[in-house]
Amino acid sequence: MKPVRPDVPLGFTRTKLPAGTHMCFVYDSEEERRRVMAQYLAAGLEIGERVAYFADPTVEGALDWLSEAGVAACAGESRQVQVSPAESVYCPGGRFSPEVMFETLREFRRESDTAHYNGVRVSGEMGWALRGIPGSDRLLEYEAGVNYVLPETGITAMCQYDANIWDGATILHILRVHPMMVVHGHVVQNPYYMTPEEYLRKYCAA
Amino acid sequence: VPPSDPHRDARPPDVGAGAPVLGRLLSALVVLEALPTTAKMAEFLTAALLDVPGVTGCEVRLGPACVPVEEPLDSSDPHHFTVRVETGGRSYGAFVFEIESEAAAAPYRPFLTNLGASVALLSENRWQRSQLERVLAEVQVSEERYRGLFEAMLEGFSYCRMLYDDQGQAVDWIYLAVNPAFEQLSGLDNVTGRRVTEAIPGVRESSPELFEIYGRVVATGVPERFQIEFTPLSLWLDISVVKPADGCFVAVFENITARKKAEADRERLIDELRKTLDEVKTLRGFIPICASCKKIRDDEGYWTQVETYISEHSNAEFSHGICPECMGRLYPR
Repeated sequence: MKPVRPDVPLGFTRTKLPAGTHMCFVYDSEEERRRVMAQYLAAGLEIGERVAYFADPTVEGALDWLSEAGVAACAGESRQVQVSPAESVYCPGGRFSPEVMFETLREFRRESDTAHYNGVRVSGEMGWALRGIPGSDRLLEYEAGVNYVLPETGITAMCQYDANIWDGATILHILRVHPMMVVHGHVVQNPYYMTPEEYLRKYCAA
Repeated sequence: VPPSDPHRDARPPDVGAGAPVLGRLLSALVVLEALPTTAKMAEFLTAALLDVPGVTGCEVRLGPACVPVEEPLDSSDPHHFTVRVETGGRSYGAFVFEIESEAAAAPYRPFLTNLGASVALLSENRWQRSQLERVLAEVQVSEERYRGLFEAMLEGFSYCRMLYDDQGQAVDWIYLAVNPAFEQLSGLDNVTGRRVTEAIPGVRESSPELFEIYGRVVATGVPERFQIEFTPLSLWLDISVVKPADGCFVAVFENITARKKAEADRERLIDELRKTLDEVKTLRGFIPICASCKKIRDDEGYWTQVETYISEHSNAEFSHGICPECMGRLYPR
């Protein structure tokens, strides 16, 4: 039976969306990115969710601005906030595998439930996928497939794509695999979205 | 449409544009706003516009403002149509579509035209922003240059706003900005934001001419330069004052106390020399002398010995001896 997931605030407006929502955030301004991320992550902390942030390429810079935003202040004392290098999370052992990442997300949810958190939200900086890491060519396949995993686990996720490093045609594909997108601080339905079946059949068929 | 209708093939099919497609066209603009370059915008649109039903090929040409874009394909070609990306004044490019048929693309053409206009406006906004940023960068460079000059100049600089009493008399001023040399030369610290009467108590009474001159420059806008002995600080100052804005003045000053002291020393030395010279008796002009006995006639008409005359008219003194020639004449062997 499909689990019922509560609606959760995302930090931008009073509108709530079901836990397990999968969003992409295409940005070209670091200032805007930090503002959006601070709002999104803080909203999760406020309702007792466990928050994981996957920073790329290293966590040092992210820890600084997340601390300034008050998000990572308690990272050293509690496990509610976890800031990790994106490459080590997405590509354990130096290889990216959608299946392994799906399992990582499921395990993270299980751990969080055991620790009695009210929910889980994550966000990842996706620049690692442009560095030629083995398996990173399956990124869009992963993004399509995770549309099954997130509603199943109730993990709310926002994937960050820097428009300064991703080309325009790939950004269109990124939009096709995210049902929601963040635009100017609002989460909106993404009209480019294609169901995973549709997308995988059209673009990822062997 | 009845099969017998002679215009059957010329009429567009009786279908409207699909909502999902229109939704994507509308959303394209917000995605484009996040893309930092025209190249990325063109890549995105080239791929996205292929989703429009009836479109079999698409070339998006976007360029910076004022760059002429290659003339799009012939509009009479039934398998191509062009949407110009232009505002009233500038061209930013074009979308060139290859279409299956006129009829298939027809429902979307107005929306594609609207998208072209929106992309043109977005491009124009970016172009204007880039122009603004360029100007701001130039202003910043200029500001930094003048800031460097302001900080490094050897002269004291103060930018002040004049304050007046009820009768319109200049009675005080507020230091809006001063440079490091101001503090170094005047010995006054932290004057920015303070009134001069607060920074230098009694200045109005001791240096009323400053208020008069500064007030006059602010009133007339005519720059002035003057030297003043500024007694509250025991300084001599050479001051240039200009009016940069209504109610304000800038005073640039040099501490000339040392120069003034040197000038005073020189004047004193000259006076002393003059007095000394006055005491020195000099002989000048025509002196009437007897061609025979060599006596000199003085101013009163008396004939006196030459040594007496010279002794009386100069500080020279005589010692008496006999020259070899006279010795021979007076005491022959």
